[in-house]
Amino acid sequence: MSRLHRVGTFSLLVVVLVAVAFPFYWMLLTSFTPREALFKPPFRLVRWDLSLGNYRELLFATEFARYFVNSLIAAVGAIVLNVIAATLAGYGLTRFAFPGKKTFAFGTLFSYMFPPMLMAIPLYILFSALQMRNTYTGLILAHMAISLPLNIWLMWQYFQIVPLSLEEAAWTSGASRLAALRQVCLPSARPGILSVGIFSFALSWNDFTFAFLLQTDRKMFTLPVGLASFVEQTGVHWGMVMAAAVLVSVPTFLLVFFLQRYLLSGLRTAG
Amino acid sequence: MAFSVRLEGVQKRFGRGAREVQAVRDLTLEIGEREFFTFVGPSGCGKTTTLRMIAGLETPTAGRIWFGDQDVTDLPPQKRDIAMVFQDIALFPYMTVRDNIGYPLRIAGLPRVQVNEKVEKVAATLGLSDKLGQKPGQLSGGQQQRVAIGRAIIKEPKVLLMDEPLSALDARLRVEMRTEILRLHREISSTIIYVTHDQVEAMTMSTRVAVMDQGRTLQVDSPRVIFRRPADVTVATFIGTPAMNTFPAAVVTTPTGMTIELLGRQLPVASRHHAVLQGLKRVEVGIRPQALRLEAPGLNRITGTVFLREPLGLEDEVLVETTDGTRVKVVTAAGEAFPEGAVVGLDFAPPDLYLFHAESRGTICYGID
Amino acid sequence: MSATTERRAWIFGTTAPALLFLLVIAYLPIAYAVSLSFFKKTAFNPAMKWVGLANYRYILDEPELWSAFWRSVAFTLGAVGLQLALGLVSALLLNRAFKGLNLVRSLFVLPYLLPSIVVALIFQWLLSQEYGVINQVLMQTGAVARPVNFFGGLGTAMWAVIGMAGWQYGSFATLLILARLQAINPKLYEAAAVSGAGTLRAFRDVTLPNLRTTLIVIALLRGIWMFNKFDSIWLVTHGGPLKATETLPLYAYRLAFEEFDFGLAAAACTVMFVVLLLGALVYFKLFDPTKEIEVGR
Repeated sequence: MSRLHRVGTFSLLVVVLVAVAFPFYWMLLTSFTPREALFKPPFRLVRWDLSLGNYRELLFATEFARYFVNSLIAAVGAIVLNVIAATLAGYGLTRFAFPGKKTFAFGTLFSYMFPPMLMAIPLYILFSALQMRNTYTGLILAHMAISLPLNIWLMWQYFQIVPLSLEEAAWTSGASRLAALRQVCLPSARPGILSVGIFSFALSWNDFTFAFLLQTDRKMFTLPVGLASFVEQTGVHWGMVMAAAVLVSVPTFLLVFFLQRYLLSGLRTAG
Repeated sequence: MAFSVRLEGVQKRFGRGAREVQAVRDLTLEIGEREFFTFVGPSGCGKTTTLRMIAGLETPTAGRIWFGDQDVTDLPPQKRDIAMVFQDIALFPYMTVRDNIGYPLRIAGLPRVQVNEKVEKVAATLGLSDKLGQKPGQLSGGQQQRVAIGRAIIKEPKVLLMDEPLSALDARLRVEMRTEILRLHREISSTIIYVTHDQVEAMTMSTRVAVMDQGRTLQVDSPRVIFRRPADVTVATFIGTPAMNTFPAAVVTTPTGMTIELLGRQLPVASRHHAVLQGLKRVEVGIRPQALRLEAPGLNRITGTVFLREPLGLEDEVLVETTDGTRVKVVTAAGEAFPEGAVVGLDFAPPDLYLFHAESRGTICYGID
Repeated sequence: MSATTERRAWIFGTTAPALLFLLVIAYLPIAYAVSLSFFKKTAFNPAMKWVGLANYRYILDEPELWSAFWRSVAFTLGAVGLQLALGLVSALLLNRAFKGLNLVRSLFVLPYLLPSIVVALIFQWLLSQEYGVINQVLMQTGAVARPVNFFGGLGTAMWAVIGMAGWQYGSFATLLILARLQAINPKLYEAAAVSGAGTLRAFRDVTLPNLRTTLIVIALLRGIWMFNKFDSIWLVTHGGPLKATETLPLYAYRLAFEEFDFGLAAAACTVMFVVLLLGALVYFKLFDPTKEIEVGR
């Protein structure tokens, strides 16, 4: 490759990297920028007078903590239900022969494509009639709608890899099917179950559409909805808004990056 | 009554309609207490399916299975007094060796102290005492298989089932493990039912062997009888290395008697075999490579040239091409005589010839003397 | 319990929960939305009145629906196009082994993990007319005379929204394309080089054919997703300015929650669903993803 070519591609690469990374950098920087400085544009691209003031204000002067708890409850609920339903389904679909599997596969994949907006309006009407708006249950169920199809697919594929002979070894050692499932099958499926957990968390934690339409009571807002209302309310306190943005983004990042290593090592010992 | 495993009219069909496969056809046999019984045959012959039916992992499409005087056909594996060793070893990857071996006893509800005692005893027999705290992933293939065997024998089952347990191991290890398993058989009281595609394993380890092919059971006998008196061509060529030579031959009936016309030679058939050969024009003739001898070419011998000579240590495998192009395999003592290219005469004794039906492949007679 | 009954219990017990959830939470609402579109239902009146195709006739005559429809199309084409372009270029640039490739990969997956609200906020902050750093840089470099109102300007709003979607999903597309690129047998490039092909020619003959499927899959799936996207656009523009960014999902939202006519909104949703259906059928016909799953056993 010619010198010019190399320099050219390198600069292009730098441009791309900057384009991807800059919004994050700016978000972080702004969140640590003292309030006064944010009223006086133009802004410096690099600054040293960082402060935690925005974060303090966010956590103590707003209802951020409450929104955080709401999001957490919804996410945990979504994780638990997803893991149970998807793991059971994955097991049943790979261990037993019965008709209709192709339809099941199609049905699962197809419902994965349903956009939240399409389901949110009818769910709004349904939940209104059932008095399920502004409840945790309603929100958790709605979040299942976006994550369950993918999770079923994941566990279906995953259980295909767990060898049947492990369970047969347990059966011929005297274990019942249920005991074998618990003691032998599930531990081997741990990486898959973790992936299901991570996806369920991310999709629930990040959801705006359902939470926005279904939770109209301030006290039941999740973080995304709460954040959106901040901007309407507080006008232009961007430092605090960015601090909130950082805090909302961090859990998903942490989960993915720490468990990603676990996922990989889990696969290694099983193999 | 002594305990036995009895199969009556057992069949297994897989699939439906156009894709139906008859994996096991009408199998009836009885396996005695403490026998070492082996099902052997090429891939797809139905031996593994049969074993899995005895285990309870598959249900027969027809027929019944008895353990002693108990009909177990509809019982799941947990309720049969069996243990099984699998081809892919199937150790629980997240448990230690100790927990793997002790698993059946913990399922049965034995207190931990007793379980550990037994585990240590079994581990000592199998030479695994120093591996108890490790996970399967840290062990070699042979050690893993021994752990699997330990897990199987710890509950002293009435019937121990082994599904090609050595096929995942390398050749040298396989020979070592064969001795281990034989030793095990002497020490434990279980009936061992073994499945393999390796006929050497079958012949060296078993009290009786069942040769299967395409779902059918061709012969059930002791290894010696199967070798000496195979029931048909398939059994004859499957058992014994190198495989038996087979060639078509014509049956010639003259007023004075019967002869077999084989590779240019006329061989007289003793009168006691005339009745079974009545009316046949063609037969398939078999003779084992060890039964042939290389001599100087002569009038009474089948002539040919040495095509290939493979030294195997104490013996040589010699491929001889006869005048009409047929290739015959001969096993002789290692030697310098008759190198490649030399002209030889093949000599043999009439009792070593097997005659088989040309179409049905069943044995007509053993020897033409 | 006999063996067959037990088996049946197991099959039922393991698949029923998932099946139930799917039916109730995903399929039921869709069916309800479609059926609702044949009724007149408003938020004020708990009763529903059958009106047959009246809602559709109204909507399909309504210029606002068509404007929303075409805006959805424009947004989809723009966003997907941008994602593919960015994804392809970035993947090609990244397709060489270098230290820190894993770090870069981690960076590229981040935008996809962000909630839409965060992406919306970041871009509102970045592109703000008064305080946005982008405007600041543009002014300082002399590219513009005065700050641009990205999300509030009639000519710029749609582009800004497309750009935002491009950033959020383009880097993930990069990872998908990169994975496919790295799976291409390097010997193919050697064979091309030896046969006299230059870089551009090799790209056309070796790289593109191998990427074709991945690119089509991304285009199809992202297309369906972008056509029906609600939150990102709504959060930055609320459909404005003057409905310049009111795509079909936003239109449906307005019908339901600002004009309180659920019947009409349902009709708009059904239109969205039909588009989704078409896209999905194409996808399944071309790729049959159910092959990946062993359904025979």
